[in-house]
Amino acid sequence: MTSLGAGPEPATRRGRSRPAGWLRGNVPGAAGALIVAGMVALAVVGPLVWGEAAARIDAAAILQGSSSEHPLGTDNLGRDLLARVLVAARYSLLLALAATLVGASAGVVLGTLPSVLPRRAARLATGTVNALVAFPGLLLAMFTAVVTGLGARGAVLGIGVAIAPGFARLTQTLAATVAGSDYVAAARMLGVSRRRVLTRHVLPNIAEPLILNLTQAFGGALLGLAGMSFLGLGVQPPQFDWGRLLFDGFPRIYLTPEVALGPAAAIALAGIGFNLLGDALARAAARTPAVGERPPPPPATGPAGEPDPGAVLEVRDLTVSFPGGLTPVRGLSLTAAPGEIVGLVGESGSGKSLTAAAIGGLVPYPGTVAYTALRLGGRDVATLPDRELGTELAMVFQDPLAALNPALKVGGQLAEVAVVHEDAGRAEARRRAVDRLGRVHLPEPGEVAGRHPHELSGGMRQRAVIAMGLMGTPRLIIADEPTTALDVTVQRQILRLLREVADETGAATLFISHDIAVVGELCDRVVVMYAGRVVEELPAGRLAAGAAHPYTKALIASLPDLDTDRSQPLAGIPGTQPAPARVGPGCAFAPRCALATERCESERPELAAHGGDGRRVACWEVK
Amino acid sequence: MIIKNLSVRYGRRTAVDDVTLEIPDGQVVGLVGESGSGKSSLARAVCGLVPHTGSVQGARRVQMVFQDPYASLDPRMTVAQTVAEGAGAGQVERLLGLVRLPAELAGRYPRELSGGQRQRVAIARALGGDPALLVADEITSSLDVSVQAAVLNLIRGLREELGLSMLFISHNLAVVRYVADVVAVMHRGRLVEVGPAEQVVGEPAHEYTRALLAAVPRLRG
Repeated sequence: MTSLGAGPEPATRRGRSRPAGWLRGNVPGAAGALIVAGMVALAVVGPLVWGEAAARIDAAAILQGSSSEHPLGTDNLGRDLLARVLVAARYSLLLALAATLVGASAGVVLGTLPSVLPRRAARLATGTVNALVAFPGLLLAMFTAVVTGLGARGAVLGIGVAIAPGFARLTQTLAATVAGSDYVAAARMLGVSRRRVLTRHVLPNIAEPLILNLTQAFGGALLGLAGMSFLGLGVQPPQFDWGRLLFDGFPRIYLTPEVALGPAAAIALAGIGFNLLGDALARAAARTPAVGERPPPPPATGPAGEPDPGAVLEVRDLTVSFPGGLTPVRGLSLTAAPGEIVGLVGESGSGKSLTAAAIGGLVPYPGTVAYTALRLGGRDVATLPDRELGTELAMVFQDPLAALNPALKVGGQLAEVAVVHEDAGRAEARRRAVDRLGRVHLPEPGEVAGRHPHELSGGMRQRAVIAMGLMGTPRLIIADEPTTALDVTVQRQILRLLREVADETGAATLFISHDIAVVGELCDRVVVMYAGRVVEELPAGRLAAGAAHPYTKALIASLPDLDTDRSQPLAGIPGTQPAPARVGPGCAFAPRCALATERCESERPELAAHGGDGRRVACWEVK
Repeated sequence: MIIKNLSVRYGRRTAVDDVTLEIPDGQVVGLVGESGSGKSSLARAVCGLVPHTGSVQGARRVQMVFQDPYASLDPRMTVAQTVAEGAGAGQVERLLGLVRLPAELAGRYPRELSGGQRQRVAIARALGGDPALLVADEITSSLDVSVQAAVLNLIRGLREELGLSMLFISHNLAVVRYVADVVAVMHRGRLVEVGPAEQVVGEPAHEYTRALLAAVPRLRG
């Protein structure tokens, strides 16, 4: 048995006790949370415990350095500085909270104005935000603080004003995305007012990132306020925050550095704590939650047996599973002969794309792939060196733009294949790239080679990707929905090209599509998948008249063509395909099948030969 | 209802070029064309969602159903809230019934629904605006074929039940032929052929229509 794990065994990394999901394995995030929790606790209890010590004036101990009695020394009235740093936590955090709230409220209001105002006024609001963002924040803060008067209030307003433009910009960008969505367009057509669109659609959908941003803004406000106090623009005596303590201690930094370093350390620690927590929260929100359970053990499989001499691709009992008992591909077997185009057809969720990914070794973590045989040209793909796999296997995907690097010219990307996999010289690789671009019928291949992917149309890009596959000597081409994003006339050309390539190079092609008409037109043989299993296999020419499985028949009947009787309703399939976790012991199609019997519900029919010419079907009701 | 001399320009690019198209009462007009032909721009102009020149006469209430049911429903609103947006809360049950959705789904969120169910919710929402014209822009192109069949049957049923006029847009000629009475073929911003569905498909007059028809994939045998 061969098993390809797509990553380290996850079960060994996860213990029984599970901390909150977003903190698991995230050391900086956990540190941030710990620091923030400590700071909040200090803000609550600090003044109660050390309040008296912080205020006690001791004429005998003025301007002292570090001692066992006063670890951080004393100030000009002989008050203990450690106590004062601990007590100042509450005021510092409260001021930062106030400044953050001022900044966030002003920013959100400013940022949402463009969505509610008429067009002209909206443009003015946008312009204002742009101008404010360009203005240095510190200058904005100091200006506001000076205008509104020295002291804590001025500093809070100043920092609030400095934070606001960033919030406004974020709000505006997020709101613009939501405002451009189809559901807002639908609401507008239904006559919903702009204000109601804002409160019902826009705000609820942008709230999450805004709230996450608050944590980081809070860290910024804390540092900003400390800076203002340090400049003498903030908190004035007898009140004190960390910035004020730093301001008072700074002149003595050369004699007794500890009196300045104490408050400085507190500011730094709090700032780091809030920023780490903010980062961790934002990252957790952007990531889909990981599934905690270990993947099911791969099914027991028999011996691999001898390679099929007539097959380029030989897949036997391929199973792809994910943690949580999900098995999207179950015991799939198929073969492809040289020059043969095999169509793999099924609806979304049938497992057809994962099958292709498993053959190409591209199943995403934490998926597990198991098989009794997965051979390319008679050799196990797990033992093939990457270099050989790179030239013998070509993959074409639905989105050619994702397969091409947008920053590089097309010719260079093609040439790279030959340079990396075959140690070809640059000139030789380039010559071959132009030749291959010509072979996929791109007009003026030399000129196309010098262009970037975005300068090509969708059909031209897909040709370039196919040309890239031809840079080596492919024995197998896997094409996963290669024409789905293309127009019908372009689709026709690409299908013709794939057939031509198969005929000329003798490479086998695995063509994956949801469209049974496309598959029927291009392929030699068709493999129909349902809920992770092959339910039928037959020559493509027999699809229209010779399909035996009720699912294949229903799939063909539900597709309107140019001769469909317009007076009759289309034959759809009631119900939906079961999710990979809900496939029962019997035939997966039974709940939707008109022919289903009790046996179908409880006992799964195996794929068995049916008639001649290599037809196979998995159904109890097919005689 | 008639679309008269309608043009849509984005900067210097003309997406829709002087299109005139009549949508007879209670009929479905199918609009086919490839990507970039201007069919979606035309749809959005008819709905008043993009600036345009020319006029749309006789269509007071226009509603639209969008291509991607995963993006056209507000993820934070329940089915009932979404459907009630135009019609009011009292109509939710009737509208869900019209699109053959069980009333139990009213409290669900879009993420709990399948693609076909979502598209039905979007249709119910549009019907809640009591439209004189329903614009359907590629509403089945992101659905599986078995689901597409059910949605196409629903569209035909609604048309008979409510006498809806409809502008049905698709890149798939076979789909358009199946639901539409009149087929209009769009190419590079212009209408190149308009006629009864069977006639356009059976005896295409324009070269481009013939090219489109020849490219439709067919099962052999």
